[in-house]
Parts: sequence; structure tokens; C-alpha cells
Amino acid sequence: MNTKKKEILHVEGLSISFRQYTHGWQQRTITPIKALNINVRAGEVHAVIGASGSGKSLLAHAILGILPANSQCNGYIFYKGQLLTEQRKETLRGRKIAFVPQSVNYLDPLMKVGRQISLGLNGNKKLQANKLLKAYGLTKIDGQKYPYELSGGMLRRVLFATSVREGIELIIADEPTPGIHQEALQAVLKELRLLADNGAAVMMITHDIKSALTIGDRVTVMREGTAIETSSVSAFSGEGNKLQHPYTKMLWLSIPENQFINCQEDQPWL
Amino acid sequence: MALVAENISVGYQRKQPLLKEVSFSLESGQVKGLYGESGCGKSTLGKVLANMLKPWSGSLTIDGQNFAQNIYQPVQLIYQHPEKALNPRWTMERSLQEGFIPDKDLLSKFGIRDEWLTRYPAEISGGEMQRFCIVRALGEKTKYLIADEMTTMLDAITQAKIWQETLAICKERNIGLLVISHEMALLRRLCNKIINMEELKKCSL
Repeated sequence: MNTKKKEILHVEGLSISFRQYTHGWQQRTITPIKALNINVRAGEVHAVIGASGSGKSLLAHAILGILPANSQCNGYIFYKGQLLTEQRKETLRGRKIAFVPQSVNYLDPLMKVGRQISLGLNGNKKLQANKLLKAYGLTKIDGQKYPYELSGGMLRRVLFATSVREGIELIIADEPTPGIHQEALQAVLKELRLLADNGAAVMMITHDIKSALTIGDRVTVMREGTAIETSSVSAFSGEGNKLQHPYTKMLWLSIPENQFINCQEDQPWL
Repeated sequence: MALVAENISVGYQRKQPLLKEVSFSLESGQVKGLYGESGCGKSTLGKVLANMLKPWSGSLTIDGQNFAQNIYQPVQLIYQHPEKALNPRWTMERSLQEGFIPDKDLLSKFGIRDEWLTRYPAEISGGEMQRFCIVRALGEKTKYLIADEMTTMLDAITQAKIWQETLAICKERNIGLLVISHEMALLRRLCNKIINMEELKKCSL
């Protein structure tokens, strides 16, 4: 892989903490992300994997500046070499930085999906929205439905169509793949790969190691709020002996294609 | 002893049935896998089987008897999106204890930590929410379990661990388990029998 490629996103020493009220005025602070470093280059698909609750989605939300109000963010996020301030985040998101959210709850339940896709488009909105629908394997009729009338996998693709469009330089996809069947999965992955090949930087947050390996260039493994390993995709093979961290190795061996439950005997909850 | 659905027709738009006279059965202690394209009606069938969606026509019986309302439902559904299956204004403990009060042993089997009990759904991760949803469905009176894409939002280690525990409990209590998933590799690992939704639809016509 070409390492000279330009860095689009560079995160250094990021930590995120939340202030919570416990009893009355008593407060406590929890820090789900500590000293996190990661960088994503133009033209690459960088997969981020890790346990649930390890802070993968928070990282995405921090980059976009959509963390809740009781959070505090420390450390540095650079976009194309310049510090990404809250103000810059606001101008860039939706225009240069696209976000595909994790939950289908991010769609408006009271608006037809075709209309949700056309939000923010210029020119002939209807025509473009239909083109986008088609590009993600949906039909015109699907566009006239409300979210509850579509299946989980179809909603996933609607989420894609609402966010990923022309001019985007950085795509942050937060679990774009669960609940969609093989062909649709391949289509979504191909789309992400194509976006990267056309020069965009793609950060794909996922649990689906197999998918991450099919299209990814590098993989970062997160655990308990910090990045424990960044490896090239080729390290994930065989018994995982090329992987550095024992947790990564365990993760690799646990997928259904490998040993699945057989390697779980007497493992404590992590 | 089986959960039997006969000639079920159901849909979301008038005169456009998504399922047309579909028949399906799940025996006690059996682990069955169901796959198919998204939008083909897998989750809808799951909802009908769990008595959460009333079919337009057809019959649904459990161990030869009709379903009763207003009791603990013997068919429990674990939903694809845990964030949609929990009341956002209830603490996790309250949601967990809605149907029955699970003992410490069951909680520790699924790695639920005490500190999560006092939190709200928005304050824990999707995978953590899903573990609550699974435990909530495993009451004493549960006879059949419908797992609709139960572990797609989980990392591989957690997924393996959860299935290990779920399979053990189903075996111990002779619970019939229907696994709905897109992931063939997972289904092959878990199920005695795997069926395609399309074929299920064709057979019934």
C-alpha cells in the first residue's frame, strides 16, 4: 500500500469524558475514551473494530462534533493538516465529511424516505433522489414509503443515500452493514471501496471483521476507549500469529468462520 | 410440542400481502435458522410467531393451544434493534424486571455489570442493551425464542460468548430457538436446520 498518501484525518491524544449527576447535585465524571490516536489517509478504507462499548461510535461523534452537551473533549483532531475546531466541523459536515449513523432511529419516522434523501440536494431534487435510491438498489416506490414500512436492510441503504454524495472527502460509516443480506452487503462494501478508490478517505466502524477485511487497507482495534493495535489487513490470516495484541487474536479466532465458541471455554467477560 | 403457524397471510399495505399463506413450525429444543434477502419478510414472520403482529388470516398455535393474552408470553422475541425495544425513560433495571426478576447467576452469565442497572438506555452501548434484552426474554415460562439478528451489533467475542450461553440455556430448558440472520457462517455453526425464506414462501403457494 502507498504510505505517501495524504493524511485526511489525524487524531492525537483524544479523550472524551462525560459529567453525570448521581444523587441531587452530586456529580461524577466518566471517561470512555482515553489517549486515542488514529489517522485515515486519502484513498484508503480504514476499519475500526472492537468490543461493544469500547468507544467506537463516540470517536465518530467527536470528529463530527455531535457529542451531547454534558461531554468534554480533549486532545487534537486534524483535518487535512489543520486543527478541526467546532466551527470548522459545522461547515465541513454534510459537505466534506459524511456520516452514516449506526442506528436506523436517526431517520425521521414521519417523513417519507425519498424526501429525507432529497434534503440538502441542489437542483432537481426529485430526479437526484431517485438516482441515489437506484444507486443503492432501492426503487422509486420505496422512496414513497415511511421508514416503518421498510426492512432493516433497506433502511441501512437509505441512511447511505442520505449522507454519501458528491464532493465528500471523508466518510465515517458507523456500522453500515448489520442486517443486510449478502448481495446488498457486497453492494454497500463495493460502494465504500469505490469511494476510497476515487480519493476519499473512509473510516468504517464495524463489528463485521470479514467485511472489514474484504475492502479495508488497515484495521485499528479499539478496547476500553483506546486504540490497542493498528495492523494491515494481511495480518488477519490463519491462526492470527501476525497480530500483536492477544485481544485482537482472540477477536479474530472468535468469528464464526474460525473457531467460534470453541475458543470461548472459560473466558471471562471482557 | 411445537410452535405452529399455518397459512399465515400478513402485510403492511392494503391488498399487498408480504407473506401469503406461509406455514412454519418450530419444535421444542430445536435450533432452526432462517435466512433471506432483506425485505422478504423474515422479521415479519418472527413478529407473527411471537404474537406481536396479528396476521390477516391463518392460525397460530403453541403446543396445540391458542395464544392467551395478558399473561407472560411463552414465545419471546429478541429484536434486531435493542434501542427500539427499550423504554428510554426507564432505567435498565426496571426494563429488565418487567416480566420477571432474573437472578444474579443469569445476569453474570451474560456479563451484565451491576453499575449498568441504574443507567438509562442512552448511557450504555448497543451491545450492552442487547444483553439486557436477551436476559429479559429468558423467563422461566419462555418456551420458544425468536432471535431476530440478535448479535449483528456485537463484536465477535461477545457474539460467540452470548451464543454459547443462549444455546446452553435453550438446551437445558428444551427451548425451541429460531435464529434469523443474514450470516450463513453463523447459521451453519448454530442450527440443526436452515431454511430459506423464499422457499418457505413458495412451498405454501
